[in-house]
Amino acid sequence: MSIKIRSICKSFETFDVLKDVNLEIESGELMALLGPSGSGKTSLLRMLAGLDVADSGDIYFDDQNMVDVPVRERQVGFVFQHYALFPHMTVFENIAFGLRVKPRKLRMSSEKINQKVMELLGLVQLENLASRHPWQLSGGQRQRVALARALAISPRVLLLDEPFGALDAKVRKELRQWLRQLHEELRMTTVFVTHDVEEALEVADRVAVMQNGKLEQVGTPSDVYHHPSSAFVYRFMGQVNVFASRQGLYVRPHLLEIHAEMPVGESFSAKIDQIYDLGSVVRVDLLTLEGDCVQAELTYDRYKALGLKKADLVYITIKESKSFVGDYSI
Amino acid sequence: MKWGLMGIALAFLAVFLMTPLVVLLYNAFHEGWRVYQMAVLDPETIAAVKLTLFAVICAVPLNMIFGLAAAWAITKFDFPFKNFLITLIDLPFTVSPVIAGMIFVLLFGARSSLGAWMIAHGWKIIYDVPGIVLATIFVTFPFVARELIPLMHAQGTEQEEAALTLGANGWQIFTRITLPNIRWGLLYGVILCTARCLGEFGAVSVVSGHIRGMTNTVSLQVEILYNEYQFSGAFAVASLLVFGACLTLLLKLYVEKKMHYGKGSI
Repeated sequence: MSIKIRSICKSFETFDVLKDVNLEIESGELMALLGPSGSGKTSLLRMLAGLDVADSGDIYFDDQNMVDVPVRERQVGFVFQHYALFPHMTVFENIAFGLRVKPRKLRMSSEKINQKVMELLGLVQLENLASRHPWQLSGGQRQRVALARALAISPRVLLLDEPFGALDAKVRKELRQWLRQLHEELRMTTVFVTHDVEEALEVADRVAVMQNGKLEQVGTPSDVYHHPSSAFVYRFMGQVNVFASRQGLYVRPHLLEIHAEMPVGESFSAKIDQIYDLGSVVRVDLLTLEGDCVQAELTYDRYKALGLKKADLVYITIKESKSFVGDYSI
Repeated sequence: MKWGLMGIALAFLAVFLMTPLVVLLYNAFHEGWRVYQMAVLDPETIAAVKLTLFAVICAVPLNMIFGLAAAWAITKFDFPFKNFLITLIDLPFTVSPVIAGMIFVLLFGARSSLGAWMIAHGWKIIYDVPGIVLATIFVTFPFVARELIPLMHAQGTEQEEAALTLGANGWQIFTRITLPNIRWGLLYGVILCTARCLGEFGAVSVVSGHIRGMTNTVSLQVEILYNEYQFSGAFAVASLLVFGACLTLLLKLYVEKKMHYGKGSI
């Protein structure tokens, strides 16, 4: 099932939530909507489900215009940020809900429902927790129940709102990989919303970066990371140094090189302000003679070899930089 | 410090709650079981009990439905004048019950044109049972809504939205998701509402007309007996209300425990 989003606009009074958003999601693709809070990514996701209504524009699932199709007939699997599990039902009943509320004519037999729910429990690896209630589960387990519940209705598309937002760092990483694997298995068109760059880059086939209700850039993770189309995207994708004194030159910390001796070619001198040993990498805060505060990242070995100390005078070279016309700050 | 505070609280309870209760029960029973039995089984008292129960049976389910509808509308939908509606729900709490009764007399009494017209067509509201039921409904309206609004507000709409995306229709969402989530809160509101219905005096007193055996509720019966110096009888009938209150208190405790348990389960 492919999704086409055409000129979607939405505003609340004077505030524009979405401004003329156009996006195509291919069948079987895993797409991340990435952006800071307030960028409109969750609104767009909710519109795909029909939970929010656009002021204008169209949404197509394959060739069917979905704008006038009510939520309950859209057949979308939606996983909410806080899962929205039904607290008074067991895990089994939560997952079976979508199958049990179908009109009698379309409803499966009880045995069929049992079988399907057990299948889904197997898929999310929770077979032995079927009779538990949601409050007896860990965050990661709840997340998987929510996913199984959404998958139960054989959705045409799967939509996930900040799927890993409420989990701690370790569980988040595991679930991320698991979701990627699951997607390889199911190949269902999936859209998920996140504000976490690493998450989007690791999990998604393509990433749509949003800001202030507009799409900034759509592309593969490597595209948006290495070939950002705007200063905003570049800055949002990771730590970045801005050399105000050099016409807004943008450099990632790991693309700045520190030398103890003046190297050949263009370089500039700076004083070491602070050193943070982060284990595998060392972060160095520098103050250039032109007055720019910049950060450099180097390997621990390199750091040891240079023998850097606070207040040392060093030389910096730029391995790779970016500059953008029409610059603005976030 | 802790003991001091507890002492003050207990002393307060003893003076203002336990003492009157003991005095009441003592007065009800001190002339013996037979007198008590006679007072309670008096036809007028039985009629009063029946009328009170009738008012409860009418007012509580109606207020349950009104309260549920109001709380549902306020917490799950957005519409203009919402805050005004919330204020309106509190009106019966802020208006003196006597004034509330007066409003009904002015509205439906023989001297108003609406009242005169209704009486002419055989619908007697004031100084009759419908008036008592109306007054009771008015005074006890806020209990269910007030109990449900914060609860439903805290629960938000995510679960309903989830059910909607899973294909449930409005009725299925209400019966399978919303209602189970608020069931203890709803029951709590109903219990408070019932307690207030049983004991309502002011508004009912204005609209009842005090016709013995016909438009006297239990609390009005107590007043009449007391004014006629039948102290034992008055206290005996009052003790019925006390037993009713104790029962609701026990129920309330049980539901509170359940609600607490429910909160931890989300």
